[in-house]
Amino acid sequence: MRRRTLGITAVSAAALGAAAACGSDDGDSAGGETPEFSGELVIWADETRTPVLKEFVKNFEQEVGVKVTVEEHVETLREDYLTATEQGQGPDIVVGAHDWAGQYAGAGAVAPVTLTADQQAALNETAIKAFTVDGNVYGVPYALENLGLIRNTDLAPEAPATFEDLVAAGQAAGTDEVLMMEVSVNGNAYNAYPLFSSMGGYLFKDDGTGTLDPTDVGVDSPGGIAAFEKFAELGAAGVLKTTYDATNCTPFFVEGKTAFLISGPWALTDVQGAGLNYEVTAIPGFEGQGPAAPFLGVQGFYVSSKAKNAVFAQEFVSNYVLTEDLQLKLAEAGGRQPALTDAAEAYTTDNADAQGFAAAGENAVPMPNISAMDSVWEPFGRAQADAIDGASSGADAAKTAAQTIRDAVGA
Amino acid sequence: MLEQRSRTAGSATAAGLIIKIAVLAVVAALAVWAALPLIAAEAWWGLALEAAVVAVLYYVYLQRRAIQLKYLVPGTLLLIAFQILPVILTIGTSFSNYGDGHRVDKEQAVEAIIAAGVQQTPGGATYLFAVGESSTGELTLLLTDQRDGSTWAGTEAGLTELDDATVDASGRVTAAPGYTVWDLAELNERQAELAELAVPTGDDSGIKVQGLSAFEGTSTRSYDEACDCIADAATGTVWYADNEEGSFLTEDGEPALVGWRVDIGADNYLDVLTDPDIRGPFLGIFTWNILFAAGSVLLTFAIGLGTAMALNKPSMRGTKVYRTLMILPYAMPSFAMLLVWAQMFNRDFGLVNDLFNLSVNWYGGTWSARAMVLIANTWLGWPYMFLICLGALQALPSDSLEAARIDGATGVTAFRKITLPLLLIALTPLLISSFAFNFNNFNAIELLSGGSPFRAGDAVGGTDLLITYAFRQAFGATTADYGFASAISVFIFLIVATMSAVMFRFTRNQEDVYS
Repeated sequence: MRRRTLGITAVSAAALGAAAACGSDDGDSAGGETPEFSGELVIWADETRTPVLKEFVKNFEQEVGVKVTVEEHVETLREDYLTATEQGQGPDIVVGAHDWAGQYAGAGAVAPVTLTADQQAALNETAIKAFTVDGNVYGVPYALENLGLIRNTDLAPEAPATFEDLVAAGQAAGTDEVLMMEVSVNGNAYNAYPLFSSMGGYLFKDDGTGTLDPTDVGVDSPGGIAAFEKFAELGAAGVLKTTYDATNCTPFFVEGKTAFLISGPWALTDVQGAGLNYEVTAIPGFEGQGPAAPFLGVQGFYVSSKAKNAVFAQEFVSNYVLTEDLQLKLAEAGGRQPALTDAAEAYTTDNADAQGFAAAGENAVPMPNISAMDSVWEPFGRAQADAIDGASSGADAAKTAAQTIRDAVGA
Repeated sequence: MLEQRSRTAGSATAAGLIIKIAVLAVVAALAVWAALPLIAAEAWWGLALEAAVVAVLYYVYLQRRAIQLKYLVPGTLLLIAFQILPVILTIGTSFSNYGDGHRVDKEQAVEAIIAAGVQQTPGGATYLFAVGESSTGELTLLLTDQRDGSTWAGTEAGLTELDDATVDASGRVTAAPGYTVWDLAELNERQAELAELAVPTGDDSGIKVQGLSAFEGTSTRSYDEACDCIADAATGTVWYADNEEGSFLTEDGEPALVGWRVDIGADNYLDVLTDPDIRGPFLGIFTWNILFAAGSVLLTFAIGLGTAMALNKPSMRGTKVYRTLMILPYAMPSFAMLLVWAQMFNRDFGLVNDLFNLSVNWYGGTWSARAMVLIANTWLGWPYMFLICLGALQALPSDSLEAARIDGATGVTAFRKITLPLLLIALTPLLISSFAFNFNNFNAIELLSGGSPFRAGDAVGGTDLLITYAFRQAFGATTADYGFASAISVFIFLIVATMSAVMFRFTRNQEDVYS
């Protein structure tokens, strides 16, 4: 495992000023001296966020006067954090996706964070819901991401209004493939969800407040079955293939082998690098059906329940993370929309890609963070792959998947 | 005799003595380095163990009698640390329900459930806070209301208005008469003391500190030792501890969010043995697992031996070039090679189907996927067999072969009756270890097929080995269940150990026949 540590040797006068301001009145002026802290705030993040964060913690170091170390964890951050925290060797803060919240809270590994009413109002409402487990907020959101439709404007000038239009335009473009959307041999529930939701399928019933009922599985609801029948239909028509996987989706789009790519902001680097003319728009729903709602993924900061520097950790996530300036910079570095509404507005202005993904995410639902969701990915994906391959009918695939999920959840 | 030898060995050359002193010095240094954190963590048992290990090492290398020990001790210590200890820990885990939702101990579970019951009072104030210590050492929260900037002193008696406080630009109290205000470092270091300071603001609400601010909140949950239950005063929910399952359950059996780790006896093993949903696939995987390992060994051995025989022919030219080329698949990192193979078997865009003009859905069918992993694994494995076969062939006694030739045995007969039996004596242990390796060849399956094909509803794929199945149970996309995965690991350990023991006995008998 690669780990990098940030060595901070000097703390500026501003930091001392801040420290002194909160400090003692015993006449001991701290000006000019480096405050001696026994503690050190440790943050764990994955490889894409570590370099960005390293820049931004410097401000916090200066404002509060505590040394902050950002450590990089490749690939296994989610698991590493749990294991290390159990052993009492974890960091004070971990940066991760909102759907970890259920598992982390269930493991007693993260502490609830209380946001003031003002702070909640300033944030994207869905982003807070995403981090809520059993009525408590467990993480402070900073960036949102969702799937969108990336279109090669030379091959398909008009944004399709329905999925049927998309298929027709994709065929009319005369390319090898109609559309690239990651499916892979075992299916991909994340990428399948927009089409699934357009036909009226749901995974777990929402009680209207954003709380999901893990005992009400909707994969084989009428809408769910209709969606899987659509997968079978699209598979038979050669629009969706289980051979579209992470290794060829973006490359085929970049090489002009297809006019459409359903993917997220992470694909843009490659697309821009190829110098294509493209536009990001919402994923169209099926004709006469609901909109295609992608999953909303929210990135945020969790505070460890065993943080050794809980005071600084809570201060960092509940106040520093929620500054517009920081969120804007993180957004620009990561290409994701900020979770603070004001920062999001500033970010999307004059940024066509960001506007496109924001439009695509208008109906987005947060990816469920309840631990029952862990039991959905595999069965759902495999059922989708079976339907697309024609190995089983859409209805059968949906029913089998629903049954497997119910068995696993214990519903 | 022994004593004499040991004396000569003990009084070695000056260089030997220096090396010995240096190595023991390093051991001492490492021991001190490792001891400091153990002392800090007050892990006295660990410290005692470490001291014992160091004492053993010093005793063994400073005495002169037991020479054998000097060779055995380092290996034995490493064996204990890296082989036996993990097995014991795995067996220990396999008797517990350790996994998602059952990771912490009971005390921590109670803490987490109660912490989740703290809610901000609707419309309650939020404060910036500082901590003041009176001359008698009593702690007081010095609060600044963020709405109107008024300052308050919070003690166990409640909130009182604080006059004459000095505040900074943000409004935080920096000085107040009668108090020594903590600076940040002190605050961070002494946060534990702070946690014990409860400042009530009402019947069941109080000031909750969070970071450098505080809010008025209500804690609705409490743990009652008498009934071993947690009650939520706001919702009326009561969770009773189920100490066998490691969960707090309501009367309807709804578990609280956090459970704890308990010993569940042999339940994980019973699950494997009795649950038809697990037993069925287990037998299926086991059969395929043996097929895969045996098939990999046979195919790689057959091809390796064939190419080795071809290159071993005296009339063969350009053997060096061939040899170099044949080592290539073995020399490249198998991680990268397996990922390349995975792409080559793509039905629509893969090289294999393109080249042979096929349209096989390699990942789709159980047997096509099995053929796929066998083909790729054979490709990766045969250069190894080729190398050892070539070496063994060149070491064969030429007189036996010549005698056979004189007796009129040629071609197939000579190979079957003379060459192969002679080769097998040398190679059987290697074939057995190759079998054991492929039995647990996690990379080949995980990187190539990932266990596919899976039919919807099945937890087990057509090419799953026991080890990939166990891995998915523990770390896969589904909820982690370390206890169950450990039980499967123990089964795998027993199976491989038994098979290896049987096969080595068989080899020994075989050696008796030929020697």
